[in-house]
Amino acid sequence: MEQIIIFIILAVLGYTAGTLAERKHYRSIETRERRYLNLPAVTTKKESFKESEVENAILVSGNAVISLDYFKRILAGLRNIFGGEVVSYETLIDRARREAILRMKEKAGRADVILNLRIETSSIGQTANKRNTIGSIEAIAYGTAITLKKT
Amino acid sequence: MILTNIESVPGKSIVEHYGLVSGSTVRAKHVGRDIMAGLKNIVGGELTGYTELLHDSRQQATDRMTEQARQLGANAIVNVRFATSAVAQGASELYVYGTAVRVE
Amino acid sequence: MKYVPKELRGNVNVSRTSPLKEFAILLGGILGIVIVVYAALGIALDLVVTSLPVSIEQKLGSLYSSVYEDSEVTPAGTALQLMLDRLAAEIPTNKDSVQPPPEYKIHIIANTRENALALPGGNIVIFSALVKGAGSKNELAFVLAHELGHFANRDHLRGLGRRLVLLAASAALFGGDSRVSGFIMNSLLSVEMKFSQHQESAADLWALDLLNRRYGHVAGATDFFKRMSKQENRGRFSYYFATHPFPENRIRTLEKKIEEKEYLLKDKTLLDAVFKN
Repeated sequence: MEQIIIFIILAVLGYTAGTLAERKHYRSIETRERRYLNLPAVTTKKESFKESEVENAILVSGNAVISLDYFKRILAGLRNIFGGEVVSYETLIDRARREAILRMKEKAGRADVILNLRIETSSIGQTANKRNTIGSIEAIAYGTAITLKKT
Repeated sequence: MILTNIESVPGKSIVEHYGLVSGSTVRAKHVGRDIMAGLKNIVGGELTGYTELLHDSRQQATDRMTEQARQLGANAIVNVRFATSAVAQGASELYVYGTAVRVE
Repeated sequence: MKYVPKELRGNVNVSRTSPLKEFAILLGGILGIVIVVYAALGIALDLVVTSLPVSIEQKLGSLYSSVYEDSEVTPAGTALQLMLDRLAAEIPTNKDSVQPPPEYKIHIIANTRENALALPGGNIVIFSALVKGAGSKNELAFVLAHELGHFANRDHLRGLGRRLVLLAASAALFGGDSRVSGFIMNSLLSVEMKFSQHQESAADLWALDLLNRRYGHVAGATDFFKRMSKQENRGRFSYYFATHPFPENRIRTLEKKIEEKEYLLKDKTLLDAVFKN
């Protein structure tokens, strides 16, 4: 009885707080993405500039660890039995990755382009050693920020 | 949509690029497949159930990336990379990303 | 190659589905499967339980011996044992019914809760508070008869078996994921509890018949529940999840049966001094 009540409280709390936090995070991601729209991050290694135009090139990286709320965790657990698309993980990974890219861009300062971008994801957190649960996931984005000489 | 995992599209020249595009999907296999795979693990060999599952999911992730590129007005994605990570037991995430470009 | 900044609208990597809807579908599916499996195993178990030989039941009973091994032989225990033996002698013998345990044994253990248990092997465990709190001999007789009713209906084995089935099914489905299996277990438990409430009511009615056969009247049958309903001010809601029905419902059912069968209500026998210490 008590367990059911605790479960319901946690699930409702997880759902409402989780949804609100997610919405807020997405708003922040979208505004910042607009701000950095002029700093492209690409997976290619070449750009249309000459060697002589480059002022400096530095390695930049950004990472973010995002955790799943209680409700979505239960949802994913249930989904694991039936198989199929685990929709509840989608926003988690999407947010972590976009946040990591944004943090990388923030570190790039006044760079003009980030080349050879790579993104990696891993599940970490207190439950990382127990493979059957997901605590949280980490996304890391890294690339080479190129600043061109201003004429 | 042309997809390559090299810097360019051979025979064409890149005119414009639109930055990063990516697609991802998380898939879980059902308990039945788990049990079958467990049995198969005893004798080894290919786990066809998983091969199919991962192939389908990767296809879906690629479709999502292509959809993003199309939205941006690109007609090719260069330097495409695939990444797979296990986010939880029985669920893996397929991620594909590349640079959206317009070639002529 | 020139960079053209363009903004992405929408998000193709996130599905636009309602998590609540998904949750409802998945939960419904899993509960459906589990309930079907549970019911099937439960039916199979009932068949096993009714034909379980006494020797195996005795062995099962010894598994529980730790519950009552601390109990000592007290005057109250001896007096209760005597009452129990006389009640048991009145149990109707039916050729079709299963073999009852060869003997019933009373164990009084120190506990502040007022409760009694029927354990495999004919062992009846009575918490000391129940004996001290009882108002009359008739009240105690009803409690004993109720536990005998559980034995007659093989509830003591059924409960054990169902719980085992539940655990096995949950472990097979969810493995080590304790969060999900804990939740499913809890939801199933309320089904289990309803089942168990039904057993309790059946044992109540069975006890009423036995009491009438032994004493020729059924005075005091509802006393225990009356005391319980006065003591407990738990809401009716919590009984939805409890193993035992709401005491007032039990009283009502018993009174209806008394009226139906036209059982007599004679004077109650007060408790001897031995029960009070």
